[in-house]
Amino acid sequence: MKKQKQKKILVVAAIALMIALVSGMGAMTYARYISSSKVEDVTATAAKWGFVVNVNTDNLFSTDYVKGAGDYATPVANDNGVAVNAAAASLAPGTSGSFTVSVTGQAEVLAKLTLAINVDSNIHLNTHYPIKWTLNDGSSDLIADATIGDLVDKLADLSITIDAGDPAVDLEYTITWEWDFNDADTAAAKEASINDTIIGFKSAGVAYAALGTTYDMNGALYNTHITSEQYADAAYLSTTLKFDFTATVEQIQTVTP
Amino acid sequence: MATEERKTNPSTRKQWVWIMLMVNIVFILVLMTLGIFALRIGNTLPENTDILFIVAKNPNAEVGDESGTKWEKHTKVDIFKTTYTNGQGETTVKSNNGDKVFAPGTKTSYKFTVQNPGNMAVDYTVDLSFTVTVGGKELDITNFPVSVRLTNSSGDYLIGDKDTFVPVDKAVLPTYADLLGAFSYETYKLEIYWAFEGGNDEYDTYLGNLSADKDVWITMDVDFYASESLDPTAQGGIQVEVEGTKEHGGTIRWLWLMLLMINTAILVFYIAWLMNKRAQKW
Repeated sequence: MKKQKQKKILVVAAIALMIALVSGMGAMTYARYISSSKVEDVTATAAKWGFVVNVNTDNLFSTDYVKGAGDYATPVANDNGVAVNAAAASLAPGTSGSFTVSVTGQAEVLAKLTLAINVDSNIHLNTHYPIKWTLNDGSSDLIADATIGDLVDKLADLSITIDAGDPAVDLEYTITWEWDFNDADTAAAKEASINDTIIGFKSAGVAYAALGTTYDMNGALYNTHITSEQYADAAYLSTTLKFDFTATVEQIQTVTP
Repeated sequence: MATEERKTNPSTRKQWVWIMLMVNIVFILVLMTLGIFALRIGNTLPENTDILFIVAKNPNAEVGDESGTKWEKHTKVDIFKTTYTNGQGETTVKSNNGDKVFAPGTKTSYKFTVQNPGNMAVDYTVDLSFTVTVGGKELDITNFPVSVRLTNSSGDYLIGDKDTFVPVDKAVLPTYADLLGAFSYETYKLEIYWAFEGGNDEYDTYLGNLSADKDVWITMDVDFYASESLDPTAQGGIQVEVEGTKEHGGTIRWLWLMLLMINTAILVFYIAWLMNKRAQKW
């Protein structure tokens, strides 16, 4: 009897527990819900960079004279353009040479073209600089028979900003050097010719003593135009033309420096 | 024989009374438990929501941006531009053909808001992916010079930090995951940056020249996934004020009330009946 009673209690408790569990599970039951969305194919192209810089130095030290072993012109390409390292010690009155630089192309970014020349050494005797420079843009001379200083300034003026998206540029510049023969029958030409001759003596390795036995066109000894100290001073008398020229196009962030 | 029947029937009847009483009590307890649960979340639910046993089936999560564009299955948004300017208003980058472009020194950003207008918390993930193609062929993006940064409305940096952008080849992982509570939202700002002085001008120039020849395409995808949170009352994001705290519920809630009342009445009846029987001494 007692066992039957306990059994009934257990059955009831079990039923009650089942009811509680079902009710509780019903409260907790819910389905998973999924939402998804996508932003796709958000695209852009890398902005185009299409500038090409070229330098032709084949005629920098021309065939008009006997090119010396120390004469060279070496174009070197870099990320932004071209650099030219040039030097010559065999130049003489009546010789000339030139090189060209071209910049073509366009870009989708703001850019700056920079043309620059840096002179390490210039042929001269005191204030007499016999090498003259001409800059031509393909249609006209921008400067002519100018000093290297003028050339430096003019190249700086040609350094321009190229706006993003501008039409393609097509620029070509020819830079020419020339050593005048100075054979005019004028006092200035004769003085220049005397100076050129002294430079030539130094370039040829002529000893200063020889200047004391050689006469100029006016009948004066050459050593009356220059002292031995001056003759030996490279700062006073230089026989080498050496320079670096660079042409670069690079992206910039602002027109205003 | 008659005496034994008289002895067994009252005893059996008394047992069943106790059993039913226990069932009644348990049922009331279950109803009250469900009621407490429903009361806990009831004030966060919108009107006319049947609740109590099954959490309302209105969980939702959607994404939109400042222009009003809602993200769908295949959404196009404007992140990159055809023209970029610097602080002085000067144009620094300009597309030649109307294509969106990106270049060294450019930075762009995109704000999007993840919203949960539903009545339960959701878990969500945001997954960024980048590909670069050249002439239709995918390029290895290792060391690609574009970087990203991701912040939320609290100013927390989720990718990168205040001084650092993360390269795109590293920013795809880990996928950003978070939780939005009911009636909550969170706003994110994605910044994309190509450093002007990134330390590899040669590669930048290479990409620019390559693009002039074959088009170097940078493509970004953003995937958004949301699912019901296991805890529907979890908090996350910025919650919008919900008007009123009145109770909610419709048919099911009235059914619950009715069941509770009926069972309570039955319980009271049982107790009264038992007391009466006790007085009469079974």
